[in-house]
Amino acid sequence: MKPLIIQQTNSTLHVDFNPLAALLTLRGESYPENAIRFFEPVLSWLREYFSNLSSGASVKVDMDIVYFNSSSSKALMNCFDVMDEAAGRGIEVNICWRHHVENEVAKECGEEFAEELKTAIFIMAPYKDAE
Amino acid sequence: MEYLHKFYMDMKRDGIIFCFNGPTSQSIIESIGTALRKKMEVDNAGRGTIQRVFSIFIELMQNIINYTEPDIFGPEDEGPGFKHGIVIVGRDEDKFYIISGNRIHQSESEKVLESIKALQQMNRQELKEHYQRMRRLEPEEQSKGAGLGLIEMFRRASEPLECHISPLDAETAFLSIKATG
Repeated sequence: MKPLIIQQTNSTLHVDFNPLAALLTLRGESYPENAIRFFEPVLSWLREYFSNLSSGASVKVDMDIVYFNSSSSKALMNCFDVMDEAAGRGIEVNICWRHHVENEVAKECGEEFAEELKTAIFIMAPYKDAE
Repeated sequence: MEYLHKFYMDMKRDGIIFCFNGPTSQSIIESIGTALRKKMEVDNAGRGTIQRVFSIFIELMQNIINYTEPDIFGPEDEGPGFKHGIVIVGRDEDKFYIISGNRIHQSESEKVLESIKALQQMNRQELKEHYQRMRRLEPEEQSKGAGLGLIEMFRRASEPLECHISPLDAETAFLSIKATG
């Protein structure tokens, strides 16, 4: 399967889904005018990717989303649902949610996504400013 | 001309950082949003406050784009007309506030008023649970997503949002919303 790479803009995420490394990265901020349109190719890629994996496979998801608006929140929930469903089929899904220690909103948002997941592993990874 | 100077001085006195009145678009939201963050950083607002105010600002502005009844129509091939809105961001001692205003359909204004009244009665935990429940609904059930946006603003604001509706004509009303960061 081909990687999915989308360049970051002010209001849309940097997407780097690398199937060879089994590493899915999302970074930046998400508040486009039309979140459904932006996430449509992201979701289709995820659905296809996870449906082709068999039990025992392991995938790492690395996320550092500084801010997202309410419609992106719904779209991200859909992405997590695809991952969680795969985890339920025996695929090891490790989600790492990075956030700045002082970004309380991002921390809270990560925790609330974690509450919604049944099987996928969700780890909070706070970081400080680089010295 | 003298009036403009008075207008400027009044806004300065009232702690107004930003005042926008005109057709709203995604690129305007992004530019003002970026400037707002920089201004708040210079004013030594904490990272948490900046994020909360920015979040409220984005939801209010995107509501203007999604719900405003266009008053001036451009050429037909240029989309559904201008989404005219007003947004004011100010500082009242240690708190930031945002006020937005736009012309919306009367049936929409009644829905917003009802939602705001219901959300005003909820505590933090209830707002969180309501948000998670609404996020699980399909967009059409959430009425274009505004449901989620309003809850998001209530959660980020330090006080419950306030709103005011002034009828304009038989079909439309002017909706004002105030949120404190």
